[in-house]
Amino acid sequence: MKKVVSLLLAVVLLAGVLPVMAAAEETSSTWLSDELVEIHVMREENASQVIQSDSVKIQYIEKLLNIKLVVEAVPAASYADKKQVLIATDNMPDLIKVTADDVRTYARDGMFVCLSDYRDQLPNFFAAYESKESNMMLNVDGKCYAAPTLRRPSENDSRFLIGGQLPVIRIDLLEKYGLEVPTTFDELYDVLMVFKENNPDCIPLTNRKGGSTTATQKLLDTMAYSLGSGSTMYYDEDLGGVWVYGPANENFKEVLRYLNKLYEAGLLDPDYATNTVDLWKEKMSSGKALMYFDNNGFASQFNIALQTIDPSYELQVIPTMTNSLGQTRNFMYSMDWTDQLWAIPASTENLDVCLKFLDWCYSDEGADVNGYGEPGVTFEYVDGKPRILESVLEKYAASGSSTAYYDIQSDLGVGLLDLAPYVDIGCQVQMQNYLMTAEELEKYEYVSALLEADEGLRQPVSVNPPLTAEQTERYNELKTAVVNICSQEWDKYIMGVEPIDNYDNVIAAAREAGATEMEQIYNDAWNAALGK
Amino acid sequence: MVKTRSTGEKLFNIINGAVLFFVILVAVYPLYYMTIISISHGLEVMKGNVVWVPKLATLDTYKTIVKGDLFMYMKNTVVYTVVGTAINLFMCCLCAYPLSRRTFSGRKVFTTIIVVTMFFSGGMIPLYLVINSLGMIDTIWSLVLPVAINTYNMIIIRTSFQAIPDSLVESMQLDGANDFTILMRLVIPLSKAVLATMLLFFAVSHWNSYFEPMLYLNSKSRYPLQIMLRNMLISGLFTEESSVAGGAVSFSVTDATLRAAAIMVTTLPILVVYPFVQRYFVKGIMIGSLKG
Repeated sequence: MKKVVSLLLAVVLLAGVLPVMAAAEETSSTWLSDELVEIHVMREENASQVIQSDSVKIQYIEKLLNIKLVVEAVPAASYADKKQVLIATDNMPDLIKVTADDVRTYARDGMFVCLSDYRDQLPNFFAAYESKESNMMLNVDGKCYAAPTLRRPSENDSRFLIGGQLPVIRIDLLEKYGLEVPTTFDELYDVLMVFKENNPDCIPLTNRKGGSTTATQKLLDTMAYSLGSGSTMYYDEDLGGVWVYGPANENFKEVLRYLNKLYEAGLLDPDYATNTVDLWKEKMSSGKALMYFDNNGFASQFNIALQTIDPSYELQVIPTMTNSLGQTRNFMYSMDWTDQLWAIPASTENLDVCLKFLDWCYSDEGADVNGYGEPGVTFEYVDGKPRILESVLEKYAASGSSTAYYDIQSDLGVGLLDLAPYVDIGCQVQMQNYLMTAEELEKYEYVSALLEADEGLRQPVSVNPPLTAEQTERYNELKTAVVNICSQEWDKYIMGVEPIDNYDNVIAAAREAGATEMEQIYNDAWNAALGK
Repeated sequence: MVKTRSTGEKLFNIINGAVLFFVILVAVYPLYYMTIISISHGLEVMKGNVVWVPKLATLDTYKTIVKGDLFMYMKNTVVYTVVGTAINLFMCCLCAYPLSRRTFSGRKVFTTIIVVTMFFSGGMIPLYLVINSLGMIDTIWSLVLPVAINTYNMIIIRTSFQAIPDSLVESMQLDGANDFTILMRLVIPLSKAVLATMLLFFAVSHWNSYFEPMLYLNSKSRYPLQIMLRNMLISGLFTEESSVAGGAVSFSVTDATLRAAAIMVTTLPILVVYPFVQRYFVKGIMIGSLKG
């Protein structure tokens, strides 16, 4: 009897232990959670790149981390509205994409988890975050509440993506008329004059309306800094590293003086103040307009249109020119996306897993997976660096799709437009290069090298100083008055209705209305955030 | 005897014809323009070459739209429109009928209470909280139940119901019919014109509905067409993000062609339905508007 009981007990014991052993075998050292956890993430979806719920990356993350990502992709056009409602009703998912303003507005109310309080659990994130001093501007009361989207420093052909609101000109016409590439704005005037003399019907320089700004504002946004001032509040290193409201400063007269000179000579588009995006595209792609200051990436797209008219037509970016103050400067696009941050709502039930996942995204493995997909399936390591497999690139190139460049990133679930807080642009660059002909690639590399060698191009300070609620209220109050005083006058000076010297009155009025206090608020907040 | 027209009459006819032709042109040309833009090559549109006829006709733009799960969005929209319109008509009739009967005591009080909702509402956030607490987020019910009764349209239906003589209703009551039978067998059949008009109003409203789905739906598989199209129009292809695309863009599809195709896809179904309901439309509107 004892034997039977012992045997039965042994069987019961074994039956109890075996499933535990089996379960232990099913766990993996890479898992961030013992049980499969659903993490709901909300971000906006750009129409160009569809976010797929079963992308290669999402499936791989489930295998690797035991986390099931459920991405609520809200159409970009509606994202701000939906986000505001979810924040206001405290119905946020586990991870939500927010702006710096959202963080400043809601962090003090305790809506988001304070990442600084979990510093020891976020070593990868804080290593990346604190590598740049300007990121400290994103802190609220000295603490970090959201993780900004940062570019992963790597050698993955980042020079291919240098861009900005740069001067783009019909380079074929420079050759045709035996002209040198202009190195100063005065030389540019002469070049445009030759263009006009030889093509009386052309528009030497044109512009477009901005997304939410007037065409005049957009013209100034793209040209004012390189002409020695700024069109709005900006950080000026040449003035000793201070925030300045450009249009209320003496140097802004140089901007207006130059634009007026172009306008009077018929070199600036007579419709510069009323141009739309469609009109701009029409003028550039039909060969009617010969130059613009704007996103240099559009040049390659206009060239496709231009070359259907004449294969020799070509728009190309030119190096930064020296202005009348002797400065050679222009802004390139920021290398990080500091207004795209990832916050963990305080209401999440999965805080521990969310923190681990966020930190994993900033690790090398996380950046590889978020940038390239699944190792061995979509990418491999060559000399220790991730590279998309040739067979994968070939598949998308062979599809003949005009949007293959986005299709691959959509299927793999990678890149800036998917869920990637620490962005590696390798997939994008590789696909882009793969789709180009040898000749296009050569041209592209030439332009990229040109931009890389351009010492006038600077990284902008893209994060505004963190203002307190009182500072924000006061700043907005002053800004409304000051901007109105200045912006209503610009066209008069560009069109020559008022002599440039009279702009001193506008500067004086703006100063009286509070331009100096606006600058003071920004500089105080900037210095406070840097602990100066 | 053939009546000869005077010179003045002839001149009037010519000028009248010319003016009406111009009016037709103004009304039809935008739609025609959208059609030719949507099937033209993006480059030609960008260069401003498309004015009267399509240039380098291509269906690439429509292919781009179809690629993005168009049919799934279309199916969702049709379901929301059909279910939503059915609920709207049913609920509005249920509400309008008692308010239209003079024998219903307190109908003025109820009418006032209902009319107040036309001018005052709880606001977006409270509504979201209510819908969330009812568990309707990310379901079709969040789109069709909160808007089940449109007060303005309900009042038009009520006015139309009031035109039905009491004697008819009484005769049915004498035959033993209850209120529901009277509504279904007498009142609704006699109000086809106004109900057809309301059907069109409700259907168009559901078809074009954008804000509520954006707010209440989370799953992409439940999105209606309007959300997808609005995103396509606003995000566009010619964005800052696309600036790095080098030589990879063929340009057969541009923002302008995409916009035109999206407009065609959204308006065409309603345009197709309209002629079938149109004969009721004028009559229905008149009933609602003449009798207050």
